[in-house]
Amino acid sequence: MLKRFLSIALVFLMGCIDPVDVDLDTQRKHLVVEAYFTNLSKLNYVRLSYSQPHSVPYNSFEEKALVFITSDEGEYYPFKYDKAGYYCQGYGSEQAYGIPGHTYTLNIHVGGKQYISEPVMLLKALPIDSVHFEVDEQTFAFQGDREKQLLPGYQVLVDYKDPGDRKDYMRWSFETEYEINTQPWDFINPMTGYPDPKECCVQCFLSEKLELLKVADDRLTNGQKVRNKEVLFLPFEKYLGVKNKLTVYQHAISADAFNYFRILEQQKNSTGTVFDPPPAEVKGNMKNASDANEQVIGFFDVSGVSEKKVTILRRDINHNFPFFRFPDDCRMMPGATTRPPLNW
Amino acid sequence: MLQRLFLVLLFFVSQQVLAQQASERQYRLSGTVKGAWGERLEGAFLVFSNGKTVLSDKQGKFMVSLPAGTHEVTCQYIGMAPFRESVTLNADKEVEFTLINRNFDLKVVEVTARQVTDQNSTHMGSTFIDQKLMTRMPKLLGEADVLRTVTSLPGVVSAGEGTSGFFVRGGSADQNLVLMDDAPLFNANHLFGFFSVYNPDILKSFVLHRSGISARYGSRISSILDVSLRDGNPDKMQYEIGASPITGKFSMDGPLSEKVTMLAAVRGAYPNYIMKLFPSRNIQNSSGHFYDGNLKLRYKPNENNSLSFSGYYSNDGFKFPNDTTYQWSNTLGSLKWSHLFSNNFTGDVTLIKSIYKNKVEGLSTGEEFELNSGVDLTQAKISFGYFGMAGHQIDFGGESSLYVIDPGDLVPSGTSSLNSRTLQQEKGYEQIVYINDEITLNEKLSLSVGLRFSHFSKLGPATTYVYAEGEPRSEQAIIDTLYFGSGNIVKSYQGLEPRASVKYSLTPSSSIKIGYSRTRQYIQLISNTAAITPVDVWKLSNQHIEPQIADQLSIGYFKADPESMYEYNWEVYYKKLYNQVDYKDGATLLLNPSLESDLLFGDGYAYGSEWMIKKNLGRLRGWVSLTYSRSMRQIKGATEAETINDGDPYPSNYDKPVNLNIFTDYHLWPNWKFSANFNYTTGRPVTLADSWYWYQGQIYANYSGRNQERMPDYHRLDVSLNREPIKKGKVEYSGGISIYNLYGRKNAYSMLYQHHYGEPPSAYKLSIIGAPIPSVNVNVKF
Repeated sequence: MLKRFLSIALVFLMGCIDPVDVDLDTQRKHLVVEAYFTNLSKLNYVRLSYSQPHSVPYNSFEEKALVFITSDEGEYYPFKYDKAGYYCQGYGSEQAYGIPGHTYTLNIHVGGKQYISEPVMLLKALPIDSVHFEVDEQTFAFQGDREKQLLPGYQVLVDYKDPGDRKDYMRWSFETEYEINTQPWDFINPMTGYPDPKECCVQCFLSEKLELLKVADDRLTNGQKVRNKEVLFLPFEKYLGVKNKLTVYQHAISADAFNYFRILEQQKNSTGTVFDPPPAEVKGNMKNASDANEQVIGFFDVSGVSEKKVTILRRDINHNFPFFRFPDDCRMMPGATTRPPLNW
Repeated sequence: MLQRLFLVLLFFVSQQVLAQQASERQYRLSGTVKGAWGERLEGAFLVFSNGKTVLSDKQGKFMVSLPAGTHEVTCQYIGMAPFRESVTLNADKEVEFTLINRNFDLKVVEVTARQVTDQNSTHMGSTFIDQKLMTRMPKLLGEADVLRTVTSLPGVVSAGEGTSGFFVRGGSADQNLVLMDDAPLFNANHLFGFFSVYNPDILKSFVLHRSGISARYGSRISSILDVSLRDGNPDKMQYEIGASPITGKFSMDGPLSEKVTMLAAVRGAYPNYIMKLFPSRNIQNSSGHFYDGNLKLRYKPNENNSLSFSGYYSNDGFKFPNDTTYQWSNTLGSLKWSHLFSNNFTGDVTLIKSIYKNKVEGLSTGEEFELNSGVDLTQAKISFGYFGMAGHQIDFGGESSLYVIDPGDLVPSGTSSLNSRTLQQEKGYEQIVYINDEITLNEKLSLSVGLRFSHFSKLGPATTYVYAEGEPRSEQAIIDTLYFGSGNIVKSYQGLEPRASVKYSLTPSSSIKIGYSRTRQYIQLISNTAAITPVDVWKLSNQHIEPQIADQLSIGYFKADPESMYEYNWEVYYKKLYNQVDYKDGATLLLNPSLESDLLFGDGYAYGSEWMIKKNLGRLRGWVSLTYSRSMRQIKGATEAETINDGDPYPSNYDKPVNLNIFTDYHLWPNWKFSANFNYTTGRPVTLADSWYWYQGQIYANYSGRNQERMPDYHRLDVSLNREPIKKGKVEYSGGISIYNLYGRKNAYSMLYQHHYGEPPSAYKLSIIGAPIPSVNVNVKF
């Protein structure tokens, strides 16, 4: 709410943003750890990469690390390298999940160095009572967009009961499967500049994980039935053009994780206005076991998760919006497939 | 023979000595400067034909030693016609000068800017600006502003455009005591800081004290900004209407009866029509306003008594469509009775009230609430001045203040899922006694010594937390809770605040001064942003938050040439600051009952050198001021989480080493004056990123350390063209045009990182004002 005040105040103040040069001599490289461990094995992964100087536009992943999670209760879960920096759990019998009440530690061995997390207890999940929607307009950037644009869409709201006997910290993540219809007959050949209609394909299916840093605490809502907690915004265009199956995951996280994600979110949304707190180092819970001064970026987040699935159909949306334009074979969209997901 | 010779010689020598004595005999000229109304004028400027200058004190009194003979004296005071008289001295003499209000059609060459350097007093580090000069400085959105003018003085830097905060000699914004007719203000902002609470049309003058502070002043450790408003004029009722692009003003002042004068002013801002021009529907449907009003009454039943009341009310608001409204208000009142016990002994009693209220209302579904907070200050002051002892000017007195702070009261309504939460009201008493003596030892040497004693008690009812030893303070580290009943003392602090300054005259027109002061402060603004925003909270010292203390030593060289054509001064200072507040990363400041666990404490130091050259006469007038200064903080807590930058000193948020200000006022044509104001400062320290990384599919900048880099330098040129008042019949018109930021420099307010698809994330600067801003202002007086 304050944010909104600020952004409007800012426009009123005719603010403008311009690029500046920074001194590259002070640039450093640090290990970045993105690690999630929950009671749902499909959500568990570790991703290792390195932070890069501002002159380098590429990602750099760590592919040769030894990664495993241990618990005070004697569990041991190795993670294997997959691709793009991701380390995943093994499948079949090794498939594992955290148990509420157990305390887990992440271990990473890389290049002769050993990184270790602080031990984190897996908390019991809070169930979601209901997921519902409200029409709104918000700024949003699709992948590949240079700038955010104001779009109509659905605010995703959740209701849950906050227990009054403990301090709760929450985080939400999402998985969405959706259908899109494109216009291959309107294809224009980029080489010739002339229309070059394609026969196929109109109907495709996409699946995306939406990780937001949306967190909340119950400082002001302890013991209350929390209603209409806004957790996500989905623009109608693209996501809700035909049909969408949305899974909302509600994570019960630790106080440290709450602070970490909150500060990270603060930085993501910071527009540098008069009213923004100055940016600061975000301290995570990973450290080099033998060199406390080495900065390790990232957090080992252990959480108890509950989930709720909802299906949204275009015809149920009581709002007019333009259909999704993509004048090409729908399979040309990154990640699109013509095979419908299971139980579609 | 020898005896006769000796006698002749003795006679000759004694004659010589007597003759010499007669010609060098010094007499004391003392006197009082009064206005036509009989009021004593503080700060009247007297120039004697031998080049000596002196300012009248707050009782309008002055004293000067002059050689026997006839002296021409010129006495100047803003708004008054210059007064000239010859005084013949052959014994100590007492005089009274009565100045008359300047006739409006009198074409006198007026003193643009009074001499600011008083090389003959022990005062240092204080700057006096009058309303006339201020209104000629280039304006932003058509309104002259005290707080913006303050930031053009040596040793003062601004927090940035869009904020009215200012930082004095390395101190933070809440370390300045900002007064309006003796009443302290807790938020001097209007409309995002583009305007301040001071209506320029009714301003008399202001003084900024920043070193060698007299024991009379205190309660904040960096500076005192003492702003006085005009009294009503005793001659006839006058009206003034003023307009600028977004503000309108009306004021009237004059006599109500033979013994009572009145001044009333109202002002309002209407930014809404500008907001309607924005393409965004959100902004179009938003609204903002401010209005304020002043009332000043003065009753002078007789020569020895006067009673004056100064009241002020302001209201600010901003509303967003279906979302949130913000409102804040200031209510000030001061009632002052001045009494003259005898010609040598005066006294004042002042009762003061200052109420600052803040309200935030949330309107979104599921989150409806009302959040109220505020500060209520009640103060009583008594002060005496005794001038009966030759060579001494003694000020003494005391004050007692009661602070009541409502840190926040959240009341949910409708479908809100918020719990109501009220933070406990804070109460504290501050008691002060002081004595200050300005001693003139001889022509060359004078000193001012003072002692101030302050005592502060935080009172119950209060709930306080005890934190586990050796652990970083946090909500989880609370091991015990203590309750204090109503009226019980939770924690007391007290201490002496010695003040001293010495002046040694090198020549009649130049001197060296040395000053020392210790200041203490028991209230602080808890804000993690540069601006004073509607959600910042004021907080009293308690068992976890110790009072802020500053020790300052300064040395200066002051010179003003006999005709007051030029003035030079050079001052260096070193300041040590104790118990400074900083914030943990991502601190929660609003509605946090264990606020101290999100704060960090440490010390700081600041030093600097300030130069100023000022030209007071001629077609071209103005000043150049240059400052080199540093301001550092050191936060070294017991644990790593309570330490910043490994406990090493780091530049504070207000560290801007080089600060150059040039102000010129040029008499272009008979009725037109051209003014220009140039400002350059080193960029403010910022925390910048050493690399970027991906996290959860988003790009982030990795900030490291605190305040280790700097923003681009700040510079800006403003110009204005002002028309001297035109008189048509009984109506007088004046006005001017200004262009703020003439060459459209996009000065950085802050730096941030942004990522656009397909390119590496890069650093950007945010500028609040990125274009020249022209404005017109018109005032009509009748």
